Amino acid sequence: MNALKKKNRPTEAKPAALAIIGVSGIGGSMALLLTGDGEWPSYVGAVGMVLAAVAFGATAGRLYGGDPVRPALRGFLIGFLVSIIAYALLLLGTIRLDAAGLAHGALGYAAALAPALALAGAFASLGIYLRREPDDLLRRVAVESLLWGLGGVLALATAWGILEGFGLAPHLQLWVVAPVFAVLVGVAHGLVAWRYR
Amino acid sequence: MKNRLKVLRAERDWSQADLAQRLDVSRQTINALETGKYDPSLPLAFRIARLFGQPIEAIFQDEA
Repeated sequence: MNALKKKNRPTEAKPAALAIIGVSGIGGSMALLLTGDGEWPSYVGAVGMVLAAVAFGATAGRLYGGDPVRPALRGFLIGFLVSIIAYALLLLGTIRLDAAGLAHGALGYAAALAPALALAGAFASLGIYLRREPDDLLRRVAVESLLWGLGGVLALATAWGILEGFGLAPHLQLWVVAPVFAVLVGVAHGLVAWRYR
Repeated sequence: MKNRLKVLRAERDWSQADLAQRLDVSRQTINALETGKYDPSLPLAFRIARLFGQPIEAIFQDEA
């Protein structure tokens, strides 16, 4: 029995280090997004937030359980990262297009839809993951994390919108909702997984 | 819901990782089941019962 306990005991140092790196990455990127001077720091901050949140969320199962990344999760992470990188690149392209004065007419609509489609791709990856993952608990953790992220981003957007109306908060571009949602889901994934550790 | 998963696993000298691999779930799921933090779905309960060669009610006991 002692051998069993020893074999199953997760290491303590690695979870702490990964959690600190994840939270620091999210915090630093969020600060860059909200306070960065000019456009580029904001986009770098947004992408950084998403990547840090994905890294934190993805390692959560490993943090608390010592498990290797499962095939279904690996597939999701690849699909999600490809989609989110495409989203970031298309968003930057759209902004450049607007700066060049070309975002009007049909091209303007196409430019606005392109990053949104990439974002839809990220959600398609998530749907595929939920269908492929045979582990009930991991599916539950993913769904609970999504609900926390959805509830959190809607609550934040509502409060921010009202504050903006009162003149108590600066205007934020609506595209910020997507990276904030990703961060909330990533952090929630870590916390929900911790509950079942 | 109480269960005898930990005892059955120990009798076979399996680690949580060993059992997780046999059931195609994560080690975290085995730990959550053993500590009573999570009740399995019916398909998983059947897989567990088949693996240990016992009826479901011999492994899981409803506390109600």
